[in-house]
Amino acid sequence: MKINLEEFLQKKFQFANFRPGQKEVISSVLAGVHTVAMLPTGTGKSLCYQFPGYLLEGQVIVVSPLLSLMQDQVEQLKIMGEKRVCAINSFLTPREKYAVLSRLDRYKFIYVSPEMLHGERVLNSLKKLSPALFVVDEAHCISQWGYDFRPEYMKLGRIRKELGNPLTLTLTATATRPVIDDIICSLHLEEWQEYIYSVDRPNISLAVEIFNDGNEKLKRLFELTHFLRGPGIIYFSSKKMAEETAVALKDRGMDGVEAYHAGMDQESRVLIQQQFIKGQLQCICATSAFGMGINKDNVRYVIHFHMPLQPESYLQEIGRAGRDGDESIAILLYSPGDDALLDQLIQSEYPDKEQLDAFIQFLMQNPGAAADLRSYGQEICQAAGLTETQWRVTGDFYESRDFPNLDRFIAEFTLFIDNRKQFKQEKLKQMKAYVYSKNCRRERLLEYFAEKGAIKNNRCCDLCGMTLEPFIGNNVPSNFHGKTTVFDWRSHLAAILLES
Amino acid sequence: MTKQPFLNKIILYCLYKLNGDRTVSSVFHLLNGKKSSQTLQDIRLFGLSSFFKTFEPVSRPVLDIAVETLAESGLIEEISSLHYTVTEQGREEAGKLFSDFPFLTLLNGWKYQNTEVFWEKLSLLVQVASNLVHGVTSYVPVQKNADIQKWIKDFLRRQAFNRRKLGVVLYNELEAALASCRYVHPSVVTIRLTGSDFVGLTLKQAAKVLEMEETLYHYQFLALLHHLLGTAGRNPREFPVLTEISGGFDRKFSLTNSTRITMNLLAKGLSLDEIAYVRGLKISTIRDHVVELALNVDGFDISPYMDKKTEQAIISAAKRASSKQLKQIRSLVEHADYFQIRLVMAKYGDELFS
Repeated sequence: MKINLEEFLQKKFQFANFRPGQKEVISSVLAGVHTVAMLPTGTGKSLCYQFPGYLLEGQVIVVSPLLSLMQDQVEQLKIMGEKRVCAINSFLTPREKYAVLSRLDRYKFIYVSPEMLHGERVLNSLKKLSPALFVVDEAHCISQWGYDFRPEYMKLGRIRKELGNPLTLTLTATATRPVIDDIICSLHLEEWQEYIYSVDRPNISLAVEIFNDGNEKLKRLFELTHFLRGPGIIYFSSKKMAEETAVALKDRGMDGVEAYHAGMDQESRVLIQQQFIKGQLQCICATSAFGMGINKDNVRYVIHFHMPLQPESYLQEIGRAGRDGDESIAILLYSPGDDALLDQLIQSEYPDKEQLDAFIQFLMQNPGAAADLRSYGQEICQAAGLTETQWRVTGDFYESRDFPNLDRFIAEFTLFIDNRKQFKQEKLKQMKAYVYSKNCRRERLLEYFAEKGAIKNNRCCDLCGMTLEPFIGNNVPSNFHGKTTVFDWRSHLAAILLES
Repeated sequence: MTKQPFLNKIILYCLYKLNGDRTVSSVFHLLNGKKSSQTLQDIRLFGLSSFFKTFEPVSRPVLDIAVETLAESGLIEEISSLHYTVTEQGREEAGKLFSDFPFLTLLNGWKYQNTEVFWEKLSLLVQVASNLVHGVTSYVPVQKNADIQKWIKDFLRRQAFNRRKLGVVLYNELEAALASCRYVHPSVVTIRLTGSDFVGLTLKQAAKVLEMEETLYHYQFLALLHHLLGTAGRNPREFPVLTEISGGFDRKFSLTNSTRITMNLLAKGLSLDEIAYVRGLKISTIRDHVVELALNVDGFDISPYMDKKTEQAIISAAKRASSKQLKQIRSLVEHADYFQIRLVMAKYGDELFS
């Protein structure tokens, strides 16, 4: 098969050029070689399997751990006009699930969440296919060295075998060497090609500012948003802070700023996201829920009002800046008072002893629930006071292997939690090391991923002599979010619905 | 009470109508549109049907704060735990709600329980039409609900007229229906609409731009949608598209997963005891599931749980009972148990108290 990849890219995806790494990974897959790829955020990982999908005979099965991301990707394929796409996840009603599974061979792209692979029916339906490609997205979840370890991902090796060892592609944006080794080992790949690209994004300048307390930090944030050229994203680790700061910024006369977090209703989330993409908004005060699956090229700054728990997340979040390749800046604001919040974040990812006791008690009172845990999600969360994340972790672990009895489960789960918390503390230390680094920040970050050779010029980072001057600029005022224009409903309706 | 959110006026009005007979929870369930037999009784009994399901996002803490504020301003008084009576001053205030805010006469929460679905269909259809008119083929739909998206696709397929004309038809219908509203400014809905070139505003943004307090804006928005629904309902020929959008739509009834499993086992012919045994759950839990089914599934058969005579006896007892509490009803039909009474109330709640 001889085909001009660029031509096909233009024809099918309307892109003129591949982004770094895409062509190499796609060629490797097309050559029928198992491929392990690490591409930095913002390089369009999904193209790496969508592209070959069209050229290979058979289905592309994509295992993806994030439901929202999965929905986004399905939607984007549909927007492109691809109808042969489905998602098998917990959003499906039993009837929908049945409908999808009974005609699985008619789809080209099959997204599936890992917990769905436990179901006999799903697995048996998949086994009847002859898939062209088996894709493990966010492959770092496979490894306990990954910051987002999912015990259920460990079973993917076995599942891959049951599917007849199909051609495999693993994708991740941020993985250290031990994580990559773990991915290869868990999936039982015997021969493979690696395409590891630098996590570095040279057009994003790095800076950290340290403050005595939260108030000083907030004051500085007001200054920065005032003079930095947008559009920009400010990350917070609490919904409340994101919301309050957006209000505070508005009160200070900033136009086109809004909050975005998972606690908002879906319609508002879609609207805010689209307003930002279309330039009706200049700045988003967000939690980490914002950014996944968002394609906006011209984000000029990313400020962290709270730092994330690990360097992997930090890289992903600042990677939303400067996708157009133009100069952009990532600023992290830190005050020692943040530590308590960060520590609490780690603690709250896992159920505490009291919650675990309540969980066990529920299982004892409802012995039927043990065999079919997922159906009781709502009841269990209520009975044990579990958050969504805590329930996911608990359910995943419970289903990740067969425990002879509940005592054994508790013992192993408690050990698991202790290990994870310790591990997360280690990652947090690495973040702090970044904050307090004495030499080039980029070098520090790259070192974490065992990379060498950072650019060292005066745009690199604050420690290499960077100044904020190049990033200062006027922000274009948006339309009638401010009260400059009078809203005329008739002409507005006409503009929407009538030809001009 | 000028500084209080508009929602407080509504809550005060509800408490005024409930007359101390019910707790704050009744108001909570009423505004949330909870379909329990108790709530269904309440709205009939106390004439509150226009407010049914009109403030779904109201959370318990928000409501408690509102009630506290009302009490502090001397408009209501706590008579016993969670029971409130409206003071003289409160009565005066509540009595003039409709004359102060005549737009509330448009509100009919009970009749238009599907307003949310109507809005989802309307906003998505406007966006789709706008993109068709302007030749834009790829965009992110403002409504993600797969049922809504499918409905729109089917709708477009059914349409006889050419797709570009859809924009004109929609414009004419919306312009006429919105302009005919005497009480709410058309901007309230228009500013939320998304087109090919403009992303609509969220509730909060719209309230801010239109300089309204958020809950007042919310009620105006709802009232204007109810006006659209009413207008289309009265003149289906003049508003064919709006009529179609407002048409029946089976929102999948919201059952918990666990209730669904019970439903499937019932369909296989298992008895309640057997289901409890098979599932390792308490029999009372299974009974709760059955009541939930009777509430949510139209035409749910309750005959396996009582004979016709008992059913009739409970219905007549419920009609005679002075207070609508289960205990009261039970005292009038002593041979029925609470499970049977709850089932009948759940199944007939709607008709029992009209």
